[in-house]
Amino acid sequence: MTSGPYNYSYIFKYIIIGDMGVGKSCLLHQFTDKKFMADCPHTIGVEFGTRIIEVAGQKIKLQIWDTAGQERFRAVTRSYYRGAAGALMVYDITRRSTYNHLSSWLTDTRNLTNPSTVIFLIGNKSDLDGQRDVTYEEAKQFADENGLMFVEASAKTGQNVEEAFLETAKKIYQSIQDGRLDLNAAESGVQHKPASPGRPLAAPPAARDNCAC
Amino acid sequence: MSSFVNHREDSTVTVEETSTKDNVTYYKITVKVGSVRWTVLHRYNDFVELHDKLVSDHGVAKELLPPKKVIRNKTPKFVEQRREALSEYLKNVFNYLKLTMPSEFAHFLDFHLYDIFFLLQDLAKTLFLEGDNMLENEKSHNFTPLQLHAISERLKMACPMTEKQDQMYDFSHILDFCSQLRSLNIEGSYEKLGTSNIVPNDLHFDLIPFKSLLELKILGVPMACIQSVGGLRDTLISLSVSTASVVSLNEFLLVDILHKDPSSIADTVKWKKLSVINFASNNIDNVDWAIKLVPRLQHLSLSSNKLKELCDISCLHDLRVLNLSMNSFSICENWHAKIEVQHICKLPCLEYLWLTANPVASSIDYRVKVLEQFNARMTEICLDNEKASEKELDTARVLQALRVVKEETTNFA
Repeated sequence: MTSGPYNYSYIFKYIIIGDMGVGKSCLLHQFTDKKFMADCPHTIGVEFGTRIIEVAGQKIKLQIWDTAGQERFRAVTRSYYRGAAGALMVYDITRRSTYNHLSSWLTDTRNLTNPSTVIFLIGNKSDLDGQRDVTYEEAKQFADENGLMFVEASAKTGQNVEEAFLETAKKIYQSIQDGRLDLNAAESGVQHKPASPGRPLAAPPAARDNCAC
Repeated sequence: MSSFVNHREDSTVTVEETSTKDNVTYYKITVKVGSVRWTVLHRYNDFVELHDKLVSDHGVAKELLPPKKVIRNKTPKFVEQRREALSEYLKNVFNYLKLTMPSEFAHFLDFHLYDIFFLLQDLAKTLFLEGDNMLENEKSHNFTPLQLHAISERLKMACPMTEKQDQMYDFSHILDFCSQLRSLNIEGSYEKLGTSNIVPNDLHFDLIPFKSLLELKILGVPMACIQSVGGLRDTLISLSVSTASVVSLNEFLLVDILHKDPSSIADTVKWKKLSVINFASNNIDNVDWAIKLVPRLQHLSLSSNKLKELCDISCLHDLRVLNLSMNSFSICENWHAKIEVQHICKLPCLEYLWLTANPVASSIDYRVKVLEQFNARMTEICLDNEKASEKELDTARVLQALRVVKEETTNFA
């Protein structure tokens, strides 16, 4: 048990939010599979992905909820904010409207998550610099004013995608180290990995799941 | 399957009957959630135990429970009175706790067996604690249609605020497990589940959460239950669908495609890695064109079906094993010239062929007649688990020579 997918110490829960078509699912896909999905279908409700990363020598599993950007799914997606340790808020640098909606996304996030939730602003589609509709500077200023972390990234080329997910994790990990984030709080979005295999913490393995009933 | 969070106002709990076993009186509780109903048996002592917890943790009034009675507590009259009192008790407590539905109460009423939300809470906990262990050590994992249905439905729901705040019960752990699972078994049933009116094979589910699945075994689940195969087309290597009354392969291969006509099928619906297909014990009567959606197929078993003929499967260049045993391939006058035999014989990689227990296999010189069709490759073919003997090869070569002469004569004439 020195490597592999089952060796990690923490689980962090993330959500990805933002307007329809800004590339939320593509960012997730780029991060988990290192691939760009050209014809990514609209997300229905929610999508899910995981990946194990390393921060300061600690292996951390990210459980990432990717939400539908369409307004009609808002009731569904809102319910996933709860218990998120990290929120990636995405806009499209080539569409100003997606940037203009950020304040409403931010309000939702602040209302529905806890104070220790790390919010990271991502200006996606940085590969389309020619069609840029939102300058780096103004977004940076918005981020600074609201105490958000910020990068411009490209789900297509992969530029800064890794960084956004990792920096968020670093910040969360830092909060744990500083004691600002209480691991035992119900909605912290951070959990310790359960007891190692072969040494279950509690609960006998439910026969229901193993038998062919 | 019930969905309590959506049917809070349409749910009732009553005690309608009693029964006695080993001199203990059991009260039969009937739970109704929307159109779903089930029953739970509890003795009076179970009520006492539950009540204590509800009083101490959830503010239920202490005097609500009908009192204990030590003597003469078995008379029919008393039991009937107590039944009524317990029914009233449950009704009151249920109304009081309906919004929060604490887990002790939900478990007492068996919600964790029949209700989407409570079943998933228990599953999440199991997978959080044991999931990694299972992924590492289990060869494959069984999910019941009930669990799969619950997962699919839950993904469409806004997740409710619940009393249970512990992150151990978070739905993420289930999807996390599913997204890593490599081998999945699903077994269906037409029998009602437990004491409920839920029939597992009436429940719909999709396989979208399974993102790394290599192996899928489905036993006795009608294909109409499966609404989407998600990303399986990109990952699945081995597929087995048995005793599912499947009539044609496209019932699974195109299960989520609305217009199943060949001209509108794009490359995106191809099963890119699928190399083993086993559709044993179904009702397939023809191998349809959907087989072309599986270009990498190496192993095809259609044992115990109703096949009478085979379509053109010459597109399956990689096919090594073909099991057509226990079907209805029949004898006909010039049967070896029948088109399907030619299709089979032209498969360049074919090594194993089963035709046993077909009417054709009982015909005279059956083995040599089949082997002969393979021409130069007749020595490489293992027919019905047996390679050709020298004697069979000799006879086959004679037959082949005769056929060639015959064909030439026909051509000249």
